[in-house]
Amino acid sequence: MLGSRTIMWSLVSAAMGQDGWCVVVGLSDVGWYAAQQAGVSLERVLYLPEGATPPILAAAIDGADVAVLGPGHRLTPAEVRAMSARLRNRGSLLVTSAPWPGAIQLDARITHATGCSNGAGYVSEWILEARRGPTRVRLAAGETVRTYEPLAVVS
Amino acid sequence: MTRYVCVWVPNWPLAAAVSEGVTDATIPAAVHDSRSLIAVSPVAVRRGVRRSMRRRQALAICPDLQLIADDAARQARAFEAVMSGISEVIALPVIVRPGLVIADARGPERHCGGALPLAERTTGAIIEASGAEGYVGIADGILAAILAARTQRIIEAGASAEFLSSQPLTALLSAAIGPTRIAETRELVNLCARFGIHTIGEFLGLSRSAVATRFGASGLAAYDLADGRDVVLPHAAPHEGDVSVGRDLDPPVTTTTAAAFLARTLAEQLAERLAARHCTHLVVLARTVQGSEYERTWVVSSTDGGVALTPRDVTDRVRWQLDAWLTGRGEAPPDGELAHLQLRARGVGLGSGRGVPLWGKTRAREGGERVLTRLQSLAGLDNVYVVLPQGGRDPRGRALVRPAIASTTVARTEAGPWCGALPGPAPTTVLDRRIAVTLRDANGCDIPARAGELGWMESPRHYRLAAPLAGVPREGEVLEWAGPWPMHERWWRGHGVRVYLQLVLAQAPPLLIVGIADTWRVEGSYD
Repeated sequence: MLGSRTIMWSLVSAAMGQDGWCVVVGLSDVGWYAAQQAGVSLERVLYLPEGATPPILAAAIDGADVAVLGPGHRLTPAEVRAMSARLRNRGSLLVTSAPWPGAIQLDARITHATGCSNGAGYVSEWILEARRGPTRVRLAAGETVRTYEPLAVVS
Repeated sequence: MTRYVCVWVPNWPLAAAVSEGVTDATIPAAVHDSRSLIAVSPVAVRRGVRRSMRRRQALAICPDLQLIADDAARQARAFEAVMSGISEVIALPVIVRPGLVIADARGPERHCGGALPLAERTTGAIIEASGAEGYVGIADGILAAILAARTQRIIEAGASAEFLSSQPLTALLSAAIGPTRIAETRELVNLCARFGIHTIGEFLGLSRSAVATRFGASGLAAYDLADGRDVVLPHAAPHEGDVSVGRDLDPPVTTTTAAAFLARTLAEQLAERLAARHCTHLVVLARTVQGSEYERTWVVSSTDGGVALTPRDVTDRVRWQLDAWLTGRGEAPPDGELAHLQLRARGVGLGSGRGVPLWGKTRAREGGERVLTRLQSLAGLDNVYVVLPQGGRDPRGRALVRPAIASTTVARTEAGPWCGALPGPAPTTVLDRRIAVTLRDANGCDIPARAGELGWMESPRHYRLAAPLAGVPREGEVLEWAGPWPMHERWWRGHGVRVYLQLVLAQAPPLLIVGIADTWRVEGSYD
């Protein structure tokens, strides 16, 4: 998952459900309030700012329903394969912004933002172009994430 | 530290049986819980019967021993007589379990004119009301008070730590509430004994973090208790977060059977109202047809919320209390039938919501506790953080990130309007490091950070970052902007004005900029 933390937190929130736990490892610059707005219950989140080592990641995958891994991990390819096997075995979800062979890859890019106008208003929505392989979809992220349907321009 | 007075009636299961006429004080008798003996009469002790003996073993030593099955309802019912004696001297006594009562000592001490007169008057009142012999102990902190009551001592203010340090570690068991916590504490005591740690002083010699790593939440609770912190009782003052259920009874309740049904429905209603939160105290309040009110407080859980009591346990306590009132125990039995009954859960939600809830699913919580302990032992105690949502005006202040081990920092309340909070969705990235920004207007002049303090400023047209930021070009044009939102918080502590600003850039996520003391810097971004 690259390019949009709104989409990332929405995924995490959906996977956590009503009583799941989430462990966030090695992710910096976290906007926790945005995570809460995306539906993540912060009481069930554990946060390790650094130290994404294989044992810690394994413990997180074993104990929590969702593990979030930041970009700066130093896992060898063999360790990555072991983690993938563990994830399949435990039925947990790993969301990471680091390259991960065999994972579903989502890229998002911001196209524009709406809501501001020369000092008035506020950023109410930002439009993302999310891409998975050849499939592209436009999303409007803000308080909620929804598909973006631009208004038809009538001259 | 708060001074507490503790009243302990030794051998209460047996004393209750004697007061109900089940047995006689002159014959050897013992109360058993179907596994082993839990209380033995002095006559039987003289014949060689001891506590925690097997029934068969006891009968072999003393063949004419009268064995009485333990009955929690009887204990609670008979204890009402003792409570009526205690409440003549001490206001707001709290029942930890039948036979053990705790109360704040400061008021009664002033009222009686000292600690010794208070102890004397309490003992006297108990004997007058019930004939039982109560041991009174006064000390700083809960554990010290309970232990002082064992030996009928009054510990001077400030001397409690010294008194506690010489006590055996098994003393921790006396302050554990609920079967789970008792079992956990027993395990801790046994393990410490095998490591050669036998007294509370030696236990306190360990570091708090080491205890937390090995024993988890129950270890921490035991450590804090040994350290003299009050983890059993919160403050006695009524709390606005109390949850209560009540019902008017028509026709009035007169029999214990009807009361039992009532207790069950009310306990279930209370459980529903509490949802997944836990509470520490249960107040049972009844009004008779004559209009007089009766009230008793029971401890149901420690403030750390580590003990899970089922709604059935709560039902039991209510039933015992109603039973005691309706059968007319105590000095002043209710003057008539019960016309109104109310249950109030106090200390709701204390323990920062990290403990096991009193009702509701506990499996998810336990899973979380387990992964927390595991991660703490792998990454180090101070490196695992929890995130607490809290109230605030800026996105950074809306969540409190603190080590899971620290229990002193308290999150601000989320409730309230928080006037002047930043509008709109929160930035998804809030930078940990500081990156300065220079803003220029259409004429190419720098915009100072103080410009927005009054709520309006020149339009920024161009920005330049002092350090690289992923996904954002070092300099470029500002397409749109919003703000400025000046925020003047805690000016009485010398905090200056902050000015927030949103910039929409080309081919980059929108930025949230804050101006503090002459510099603009990047606060976060929206992606």
